[in-house]
Amino acid sequence: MKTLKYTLFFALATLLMAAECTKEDDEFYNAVYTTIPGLVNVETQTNYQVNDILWLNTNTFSRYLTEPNQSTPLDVFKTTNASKFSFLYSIEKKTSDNLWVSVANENNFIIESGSVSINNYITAFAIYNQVNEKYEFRGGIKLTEPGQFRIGFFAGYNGENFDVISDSSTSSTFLTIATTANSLSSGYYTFTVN
Amino acid sequence: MKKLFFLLLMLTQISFAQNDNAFDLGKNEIKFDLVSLVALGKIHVSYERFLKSDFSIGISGILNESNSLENDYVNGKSRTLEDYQIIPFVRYSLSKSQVRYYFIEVFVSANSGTYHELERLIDENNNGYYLSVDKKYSDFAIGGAVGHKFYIKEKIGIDIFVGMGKNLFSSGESPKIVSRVGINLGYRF
Repeated sequence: MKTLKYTLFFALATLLMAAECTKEDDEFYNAVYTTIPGLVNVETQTNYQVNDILWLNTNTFSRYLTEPNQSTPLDVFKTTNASKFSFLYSIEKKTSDNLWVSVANENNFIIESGSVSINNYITAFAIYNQVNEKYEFRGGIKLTEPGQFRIGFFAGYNGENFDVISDSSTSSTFLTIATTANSLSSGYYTFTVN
Repeated sequence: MKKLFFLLLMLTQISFAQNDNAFDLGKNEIKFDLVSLVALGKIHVSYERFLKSDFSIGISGILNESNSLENDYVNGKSRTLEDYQIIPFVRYSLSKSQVRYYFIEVFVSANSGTYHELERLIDENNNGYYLSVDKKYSDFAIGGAVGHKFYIKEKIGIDIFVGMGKNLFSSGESPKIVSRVGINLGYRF
């Protein structure tokens, strides 16, 4: 009986210690998720030729955005104090094996405003402009060869669209905006370069 | 520090061999948790009344005076900041010895503090923005703990315990879980 008591005691103690060590009372609270469509624009053309540049921009990404179910615009700069927002996309070419491979690299990518980090995908940073109160990005890929291409975006927090995320400091509110781009079909803009 | 509690709990089982004869140690004990003060910046005092050789009741008070916890809260690293807890408890000894025993505890905790909540506010230009605002919470938790207790020179009690409780009325304001951890140094009379 005594052994059973102590076995139960130590089992309970171990359980409580494990629970103490893993409990998360302070779940991350300082984040806002919202949906605001149309923040990214693909500058589409009717036809594409080799050496054309396909641009992508955030010209509509104002500091003040219309938020669903709210009667007043959302001031994203005041909310986040963020100097930039980021989003991910890819530019891929279809190979003869019907595979899609990334074609963006630092040699064929042109930045007009904002900045990028290019790996297998492109991380675009729209940087806040205090003069026109917009988060600005305009980047283009030079189409150096013919073929079938596509621009793709990664599914966002809501399982669709894609996310534009504030680069907030710890003490500021983190804002994630599920947004859309024009001319997408199933998350991709597909085009042919002649 | 929680791992240290557990280690001490284990070690005292084998390192502290003392006479198990029952004798009258007194029915009251006041105690102070030095470790909570040093490690967590919390003032934790308790009173325990021994009703039978294996059964006692008591009450603990915890006051948070921790600068580091407050800084974490102010800097947004934690969502809640506890102000105080008042914890009535009952303990049942699992051992026959009165000078060295393991115990289980059931407690309730009236706890209060401050928490961050995001609110959508409207500025003077009629634009909305989200801001973290501070609000007060009060809640009532019920929970359990286990621990080990032993006496030095029949008067100085040391109890090491770990446990946790669940806040009953939390809907995002108060912490879901309250801790019950400490190493008490007490005087029995």
